[in-house]
Amino acid sequence: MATTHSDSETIGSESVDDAEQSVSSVEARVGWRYTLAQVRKDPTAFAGFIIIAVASVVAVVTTIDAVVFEYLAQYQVFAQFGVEKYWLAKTLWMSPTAEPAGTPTLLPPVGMENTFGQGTWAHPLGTDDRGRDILLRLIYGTRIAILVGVLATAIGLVGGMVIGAVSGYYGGWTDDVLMRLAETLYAIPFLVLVLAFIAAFGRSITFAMIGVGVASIPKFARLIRSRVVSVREDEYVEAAKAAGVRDRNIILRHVIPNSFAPVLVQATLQVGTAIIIIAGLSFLGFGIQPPTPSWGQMLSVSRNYMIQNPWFSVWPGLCILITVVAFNMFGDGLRDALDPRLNN
Amino acid sequence: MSLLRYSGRRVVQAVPVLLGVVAITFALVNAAPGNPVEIMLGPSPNQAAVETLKAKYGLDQPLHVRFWKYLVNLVQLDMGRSIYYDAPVTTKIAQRLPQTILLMVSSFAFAIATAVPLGVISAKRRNKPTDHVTRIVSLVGVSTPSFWIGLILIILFSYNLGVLPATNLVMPWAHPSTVTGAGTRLGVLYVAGAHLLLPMLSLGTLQMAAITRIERSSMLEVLSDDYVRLARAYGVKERTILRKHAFRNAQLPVITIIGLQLTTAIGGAVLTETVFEINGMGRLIVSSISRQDFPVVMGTTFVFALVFVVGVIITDISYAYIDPRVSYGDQE
Repeated sequence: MATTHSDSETIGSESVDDAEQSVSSVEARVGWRYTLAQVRKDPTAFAGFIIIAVASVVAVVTTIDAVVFEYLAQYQVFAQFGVEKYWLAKTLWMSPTAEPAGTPTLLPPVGMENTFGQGTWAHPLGTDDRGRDILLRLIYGTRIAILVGVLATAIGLVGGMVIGAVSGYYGGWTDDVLMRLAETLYAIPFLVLVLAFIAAFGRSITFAMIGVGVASIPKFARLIRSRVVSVREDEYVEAAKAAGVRDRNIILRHVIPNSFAPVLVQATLQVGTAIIIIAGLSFLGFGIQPPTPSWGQMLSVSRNYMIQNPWFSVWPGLCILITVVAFNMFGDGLRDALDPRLNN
Repeated sequence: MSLLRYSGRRVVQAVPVLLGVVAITFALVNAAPGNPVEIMLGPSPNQAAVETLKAKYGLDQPLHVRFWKYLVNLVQLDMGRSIYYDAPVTTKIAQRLPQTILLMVSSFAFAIATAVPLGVISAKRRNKPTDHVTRIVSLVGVSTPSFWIGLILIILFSYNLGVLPATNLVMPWAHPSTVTGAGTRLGVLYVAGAHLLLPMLSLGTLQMAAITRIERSSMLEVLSDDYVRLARAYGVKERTILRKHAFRNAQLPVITIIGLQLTTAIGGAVLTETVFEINGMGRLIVSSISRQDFPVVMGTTFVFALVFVVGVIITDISYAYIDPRVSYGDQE
C-alpha cells in the first residue's frame, strides 16, 4: 500500500488515488513468462489459479450442457440422438431443474437427520425444497457465477479502458468531462447504482450483469487513466508520434498494452467482487430467475427453510466463498509477482 | 485555520458531485419503460383520471422543467411523494434512515476496534502462526458475502442456540413502554444490543477483514522504513518503536480504506437489512424497485450517495487532521 498522499481536486478521489497507486506502481517487469513463473512459485496464488481453472472448466462444460445442447436440439440431426437441454446432466445423473417425482424434499446431507428424513448417498448434500439434488444444482450454479462475473468485469474493463485511455491520452476538457462523470458515478454506492440501473431497465440477469459492469467502469477508467498519463510521456510514444502514427493506433498498440499489468490485477480481484454482488442481487430476487440454478438464488430460497434444513443455506455460500477466495488469492499473487517491492 | 478552510473546500466540492448524482438517477428513472401512472391505474385507465394523476405528480410537464423542479424541491428537503405509500418520500426516508445509520456505525465501530489490533499484532509477529491465522481470516472475510454470514449467524445463534433474536432492530433511544421485554432505559439498551449484535457481525466482518489487511501491510511497510531502522539501531525498545514511531504513521492508508469501505458497507447494509428484516433504507429501496415506486427509488439513491459522500468528507478531514501536509497544500 502506497503511503503517498495526493491532494486531488474533487471529492472521493483522494481515497481512490491511494488505492490506484498501490496497483499502478505495478509494472510489467520482465514479461509474462517471468510473471507466470513467479505465480507458480507462490503456493497460495497457484492454489487460487487451480480452483479458478477447475471452476472455469465446470462452467464451460455446464454451459455447453445448458445452452449449446438446447440450441442443437432444434435440429433433427442432433435431436435423433436425444440431444436436449441438460442432456449431459440427465445422462449422467438427473436434470438440475426438473422436479423429480418421489424424491423427498429438504433432505439433509449424508449422515445427518432431520424431520424430512435421513441423508443418503443418492443425494450427498441433500435435496432442496422441490426435491432436486443440491450438489448438482451447485455444480450448475458455477456456470452463472463464473460466466456472469467474468462478463460483468469484461464490460467494466472495456468501458473503463476506452474512457480511461481517451481521457488520459488527450487530457484537457475531454479528460475533465469524463473524469467528472466517473467521479459522479463513483459517488453512488456500487450496489445502489446497480439497483437503480435494474429499477430503470427491469429485473433480469442480463441487466444485473450490465449494471455491475457499468458500475465498475469508473474504477477501471481511473486506474487506466493514471497509467496512461505516465506512459504518455515515455519515449516510445513520442517516437511513434514523430513517426506519424495515428492517435488511435498509438493508444491501441502502445499505450494500452503498456498500461495493462495493473489493470489485469484489478480485473482479477473485480471478478470476485462481481460474483459476490451478483449473488447478492439474485438473493434479493433481481438477478437470475428460477428454475435456472444459481448460488445466490439458492440462498434466497434456503432462507425459508433455515429451521427445517439449515444445511441448505450452508452449501451455496461455501461455493461463493471458495470461488471468490480463489480469485483474491490469484489476484494478490499476480500483484506480488508483478511488483516484488510490495511483497510483504 | 487551514484545516477549517480545507474542510470548507471539501464540502463545496461535494455539491457538483451530488448534483451529478441527482442528474444520473433522474435520467435512469426517466429511461424506465414503465409509466408510473399506468402502474397506479391498471392497464386501461380512463383519460380524465390519467390527467389528474399526471398533474398530481407533475408528469405532464417537460423533462427539463421537472428536473429543475425536483432540484428546487430537493434543496427544501422535498423529494416528491411516494406512489405506494402516498406519503412524502422525505418522511419515509426519515423513518428508515436511523436504522441504517445505527447498523453501519456499529459495524464500523466493531470493524475498527478488532481490525486495528489484529493488523498490528499480525505485522509484529510476521510469518508466525498468529500472522498466518490473521491472514487467512482476513482473506476469507473479504471473500464472504455478508448476507451469507448473516444467514449462518441466524441459524447458529437464533435457531440452534436460541440466544439472540433473528429479526428486527430496536433503537437504543426508544421509550421503554414501546419495547417488549424492557422495563427501564437500561433494559431497552440491553434489548437493543441483543438485536444489533448479529447484524453488526454480519456486516462488520467484511469491513474488519479489509481493514486488517491494510493495517498489516501498512505496518509492515512503516516498520521497514529508515527511521524505524535507525530507532532500532539506537536500541529503542521494540514496544516503544511500535507504539510511538510506527503506529501513527501507519494509520494514514487505513483511514483511506475506511472511507472506501463505505461503498461496500452500504451495499452490505442493503443485503443485511433484507436478511435480518430490518426496516431500514436498504429494504425501502429493494421493495420500492419491486413496486416501481420511482420517487422513493430516486430519493433513497440520493440519500445513500449523500451518506457515502459525507463519509468520504469525514475521512478526508480526519486525514488532514492527522497529516497536516494535506491542508498545508491548500494555502497558496
